[in-house]
Amino acid sequence: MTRTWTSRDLRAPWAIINLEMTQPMTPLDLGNANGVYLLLRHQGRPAGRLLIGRSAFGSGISVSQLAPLVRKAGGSLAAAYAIYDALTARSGTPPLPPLTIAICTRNRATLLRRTLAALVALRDGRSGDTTPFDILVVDNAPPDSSTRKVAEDVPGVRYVMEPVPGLNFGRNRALRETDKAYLGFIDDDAIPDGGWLDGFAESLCDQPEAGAFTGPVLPLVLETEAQLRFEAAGGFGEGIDWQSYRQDRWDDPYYPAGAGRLGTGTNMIFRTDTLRALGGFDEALDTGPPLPGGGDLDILFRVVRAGVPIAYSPRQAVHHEHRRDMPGLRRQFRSWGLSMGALLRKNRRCNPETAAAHRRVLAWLLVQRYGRMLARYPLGRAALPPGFVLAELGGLIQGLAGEYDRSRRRVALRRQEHGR
Amino acid sequence: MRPPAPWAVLHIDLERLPRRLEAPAGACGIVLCFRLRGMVLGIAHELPNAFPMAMGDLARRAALATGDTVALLLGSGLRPIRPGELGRCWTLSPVPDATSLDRLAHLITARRAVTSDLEASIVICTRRRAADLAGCLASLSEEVAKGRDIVVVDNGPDAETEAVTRRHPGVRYVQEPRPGLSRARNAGVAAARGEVAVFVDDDVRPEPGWIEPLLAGFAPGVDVVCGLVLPETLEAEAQIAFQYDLGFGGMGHLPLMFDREFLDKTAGSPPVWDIGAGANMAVRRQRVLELGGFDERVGPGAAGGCGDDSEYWHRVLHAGGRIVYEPLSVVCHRHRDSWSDLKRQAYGYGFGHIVALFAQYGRQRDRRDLRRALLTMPLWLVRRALKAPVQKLAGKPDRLTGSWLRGYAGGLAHLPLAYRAPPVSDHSLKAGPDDV
Repeated sequence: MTRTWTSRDLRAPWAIINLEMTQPMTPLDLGNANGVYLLLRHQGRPAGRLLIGRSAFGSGISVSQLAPLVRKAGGSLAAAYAIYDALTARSGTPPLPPLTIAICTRNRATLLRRTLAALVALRDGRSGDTTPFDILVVDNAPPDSSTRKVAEDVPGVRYVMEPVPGLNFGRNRALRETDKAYLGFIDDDAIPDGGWLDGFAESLCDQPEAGAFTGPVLPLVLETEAQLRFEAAGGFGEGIDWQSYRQDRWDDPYYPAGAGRLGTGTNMIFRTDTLRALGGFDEALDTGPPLPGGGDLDILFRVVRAGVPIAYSPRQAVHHEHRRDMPGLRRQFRSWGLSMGALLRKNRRCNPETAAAHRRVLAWLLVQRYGRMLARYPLGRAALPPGFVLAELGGLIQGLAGEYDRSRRRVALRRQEHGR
Repeated sequence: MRPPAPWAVLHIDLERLPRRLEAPAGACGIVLCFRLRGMVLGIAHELPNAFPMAMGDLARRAALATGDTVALLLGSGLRPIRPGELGRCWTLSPVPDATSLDRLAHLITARRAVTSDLEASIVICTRRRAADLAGCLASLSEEVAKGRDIVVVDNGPDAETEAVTRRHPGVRYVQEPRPGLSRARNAGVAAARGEVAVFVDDDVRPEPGWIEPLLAGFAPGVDVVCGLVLPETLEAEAQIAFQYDLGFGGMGHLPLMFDREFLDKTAGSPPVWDIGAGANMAVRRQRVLELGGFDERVGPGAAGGCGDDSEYWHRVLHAGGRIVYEPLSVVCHRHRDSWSDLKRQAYGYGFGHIVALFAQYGRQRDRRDLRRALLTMPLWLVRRALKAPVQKLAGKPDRLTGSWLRGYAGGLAHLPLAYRAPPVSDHSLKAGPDDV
């Protein structure tokens, strides 16, 4: 694959452009942007992503330069979409099942307003559903009433307050509150793609037995260096892909221990029964510092281990605003390492039969992921500073060294304080 | 991990997707073979836990497995393209839309409607496998009824084979007592009456309509047309290993054209063995005679295992001829189901490959062939042998490396082929048809 950016290009701002592959291509003008993130779509559905820095072609990109790159990045999925359309011969998208979309938030009223506006537009723009979906705001241990005010401003939005701090206390509260068959989650720093729920409805129609529905997390804006570098390093690793995940996978030695690709917390919809049968989210994860993540990977892992499939659809995409500042992004990487380490310990203990896959994943992380990332620096081809790799590695070690058990003890105390 | 045997092979017609697809009972792995008007467009591998599969889910898998092929086939208009042009063809082919599959179906039907007025003989070379031969002849009943010239070359020869052949009136029986597949092929070419000899192995079952695309592939200048070979069953561990470890599963789904450029554009020895398989190949008889026939020093029965077909292809390309790979023509091969047969096959592949390279060098003096035989192959084998203990620890023992190594060592003994002039006259080609 020809490289279309270098680390010199990774300076703000970059443009994000949607490119519809079924339309005739036009030349691109970068203007004063240092590069362009092309989201390739096939009749509106995400088919691939393409990053082109200014250093590759200068500020103007001609059709003849663009066409082969677009074909390479999005051609396969676009072709698959076309054939899928022909084979299913569906008229319109299937209707939505009864559904609650929950946003667990804390003290980020401005962001929440944007997400709510996008959800309401999605809800009111849908026709053909007998019941539009519910929107539920779970306010987690709020320091003030700003979140409540935002939620009350928007008609048709339910507000509940969860006093115990911790994201998974919030998610479990949403699980207790909903009376619908399906429960979806989106973060307050993301907005759904126009086809988000169409993708979900289509996956449900194709795989009615699935217990969880996930999809890609695309960048909402690329305004800062941190956001750019994160996206250039691969972004949220699941990618624009069309998969179903089950208890086992053909010829995949890492499965199911290779966490992170089943889906992400900001884009997941569950069958409510499945969540209840699994006992909901693990409240010892996602507690905020010192163990701020891992709850999403944990629940998705438990879903597949329970023998329930996960449908991952590229149509069910959300746009996420990545960390804006480099120190924040660095903390994020540390937190991923931490949750990965904690989960490796937890899952290995609860699923002894997957121990071999877990060993392989750990070896892969150390050798392939970190080794390769570090080896790129001398070559000048790294998107992230070496400190980020070390931060993630440090987090991984701390996570492996019993962070999950410490977190369980902390959470038990927290529960006691709130009389649970 | 790859699931254990048995696997099931399911052929799915894209125009008649089942509403709900059940996994065959007992299968630990399911190979889905997606076909449109008989043409194979893609393959998917699934575990039993993905079943029963709703139609939409099956459609998704079919779309992912066939998408690139459909785009390329539409881009090339089903015409054979050179392997080196695939990238350009992919870039230039239009983005498929919902009508693409329909258009492709029409293209395939139109392609099937192209008939050739070449006269063809079917040649079946067999050796002491009367039961296999009986099945093969049974699958050819349609061709027998049409009055097609069919020749069975008995390389045994034995009475049972003869008896099986005699049961099919109209099928001619020819003996070639000197062992060697190349000799049997030459005897078949000599005995055949048509302008084209279509070779069918005794252990393959041609699908109805496999012969017409082969014949239609003979455009002017084309001397050989090869077709697709699919596994009939994958029920035994050895059959799975034959398909996936011995390199039999690498046949593509796109019509390809090989010519002089294919020889010139590769850095190493041109991989003629990837063009197709002798189990489903048609040759222009006149050209075989002009080029001196199949090399009788190469191939099963003479040296070992393989190479009788690819060495001939190499000569055809050097002489300026063209070879077409036409996947519209499909035969199913019954893979051997015992490990001892599989090991013998690996031994034969190691052996025959080297001998064929020596013979190629002996004729064309292309140093890349010698380099592959004396440098690339040993390095590959050493790497494989070094990896074997690690793979054993990882629970994936490599059971064929020993056979490969022995085959290679045995093949080295045929190094003189590289320096000896090729035979000028040839017994079996000169001998006329000796119908018994």
